[in-house]
Amino acid sequence: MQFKRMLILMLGLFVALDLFLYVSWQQGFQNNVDVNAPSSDIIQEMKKQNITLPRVSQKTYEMSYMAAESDTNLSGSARLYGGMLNYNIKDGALNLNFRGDGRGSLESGDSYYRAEIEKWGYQYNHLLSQAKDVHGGQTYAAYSQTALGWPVLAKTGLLEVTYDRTSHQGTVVQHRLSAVERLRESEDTISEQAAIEDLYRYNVLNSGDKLSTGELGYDVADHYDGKDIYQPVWLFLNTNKNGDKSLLKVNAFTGEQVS
Amino acid sequence: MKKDNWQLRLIRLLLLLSILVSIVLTAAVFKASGSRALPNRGSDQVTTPQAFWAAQYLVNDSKGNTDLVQGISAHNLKAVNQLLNTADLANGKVTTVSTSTLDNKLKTPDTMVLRYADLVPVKYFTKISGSNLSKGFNFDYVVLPLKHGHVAQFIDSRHQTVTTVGFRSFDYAKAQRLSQHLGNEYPAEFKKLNNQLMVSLPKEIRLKTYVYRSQQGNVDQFNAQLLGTASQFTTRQIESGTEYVHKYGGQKTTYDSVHQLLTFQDHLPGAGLSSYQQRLDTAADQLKLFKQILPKVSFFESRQNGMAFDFRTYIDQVPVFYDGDQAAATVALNTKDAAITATYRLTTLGLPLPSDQQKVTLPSTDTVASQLDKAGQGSNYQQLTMAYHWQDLGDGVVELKPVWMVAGNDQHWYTLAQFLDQTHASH
Repeated sequence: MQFKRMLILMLGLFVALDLFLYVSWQQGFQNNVDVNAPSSDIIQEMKKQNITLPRVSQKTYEMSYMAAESDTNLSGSARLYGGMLNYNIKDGALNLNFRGDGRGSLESGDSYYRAEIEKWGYQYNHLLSQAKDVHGGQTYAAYSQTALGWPVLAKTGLLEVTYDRTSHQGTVVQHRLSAVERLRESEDTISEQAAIEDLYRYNVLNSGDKLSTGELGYDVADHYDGKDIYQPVWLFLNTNKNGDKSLLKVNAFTGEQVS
Repeated sequence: MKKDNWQLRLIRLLLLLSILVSIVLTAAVFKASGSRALPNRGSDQVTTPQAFWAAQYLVNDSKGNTDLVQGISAHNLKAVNQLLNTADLANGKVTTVSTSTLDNKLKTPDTMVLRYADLVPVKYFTKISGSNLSKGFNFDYVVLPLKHGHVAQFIDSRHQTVTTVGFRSFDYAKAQRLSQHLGNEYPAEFKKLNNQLMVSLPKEIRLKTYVYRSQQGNVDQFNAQLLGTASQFTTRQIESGTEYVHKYGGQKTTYDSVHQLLTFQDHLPGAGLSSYQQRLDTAADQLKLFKQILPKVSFFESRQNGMAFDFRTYIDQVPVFYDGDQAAATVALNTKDAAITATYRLTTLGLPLPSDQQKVTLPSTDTVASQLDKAGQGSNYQQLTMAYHWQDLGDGVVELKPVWMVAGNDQHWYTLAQFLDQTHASH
């Protein structure tokens, strides 16, 4: 009996030790991440100004400039939508009206449609979807086409779905890039932290603002020879103290604010 | 009794498990704390400014064949240029050598050779304290070893000196890995042409023609860096353009809108300018101000016996030449009155644009040299370089066309065609 008690005592001690070790390991891991957490003077200054920041990263990425055309051959895509009522193709965009089948809709939360759309080379874009103000009963979801491995943040690469839960009717506006071409060798982007610091330097952020995590993607910067020229940008969703939302873009190579 | 046995067995098993878990967790905690300590290592590490990254990259294979590497990705370029940053130099030996010995050193098998635009101080690349070389030295070629334990050779081709240095630490494996997949390789040789050591191409080379949007620089942006806020300087029109003078310091800039040039003038009393290194440091400080505005601008050459320094834009390790030979930035120094004159070209390369232009074939260096010989100009030039020639296509579009550039004895640069035309005209 004495031996059994000793074993139980030892088991208790080792379980306590394991718990202690697990907690210190996790804390160590947290600390490790904190090396990349907001640390610079500017970040500290922003915090003092009551600007809420995400856990920012100092990681840089390799990206290049990109050229692409707008795909005008979208009529085939129209057939892919269930419940399609009618569509037209205007200015390089497929504009389509559909009726929800009651089982779900093209809204963001519907995993069936989301999975379908993602099969077509688009990814659900959280920031762009959140940025849009919608009225009661309506939902809005933006999907970004993936080009050279990164989401296109400009309208030219978006698939936007608006759905009315009351009338069960919705619209899709789909753009698509074609003839995507990498321009020059890849270069290092600035980090998310550097982009946030640049926003602050350009006096874009105010006290009471809440900034989302940044998303790196492509935005149209120029047009040449029938093609759009894309540059990498950091995209943020900013919510001011009144709850108004705005999208902010920073050139991911130069740190300049993009309007 | 049976129940007791069963309980005992379970407790034993749990105890064993918890002991094992504690061993694994202890290892994990140690590993995590070890990796956290790493970033603190080598806090005095040097980071080479991009303006002083190497101009050309060559690889000598194990048989001694030399290849010039072009089209290196930004990632690899950074990694190669940081190889020396993380190195720790041991003691070294300086020797003066003959041209043929120099050639042999540059062709050392299993090495990577970095050619710099002109002489650069070693302190821009690595820490040298704790070595008999702590006074520093300048070099324009470095032969980096790819085999473990081998030495590096820093070469000053102007004075034909070789500084042979061992390493206390050097990432040989990384150097070797980088050398294997650096970019497109072209056969190359080291050759002396009119007393200048250069990388010569025995075969023709095909380079892409690039198209860019030209970007007009903002005078205010430059003035903000050079003179401060607008309230700190006065503005007036003069014959050569607009002059901005600092109210208290006396520094001034002049903007020539016709040639899109901004010239900054100042006196630097107290700034030692007597040595080449001090003058280059001063020029580097100027360029540092425009790291964001002139991102691809790097050191190109020193002129006027090391009194002036030219910085040019590089695309794919090839320098860009505008019409005329005004560089992207020139910093000229005068030791007598400690004067500095920095000239910046405000029109720079903007966004890259797509182009369906065919590649251009440039003739071999030997073909160019013999063309110059035949034109009777064999001794009238100082240097040859592959370059991109800036050609304005209108509507803010610029074409960069591969050409051979020739530096005449007048210290000006010409396209090969211009140089030969000039010859033709003078005959």
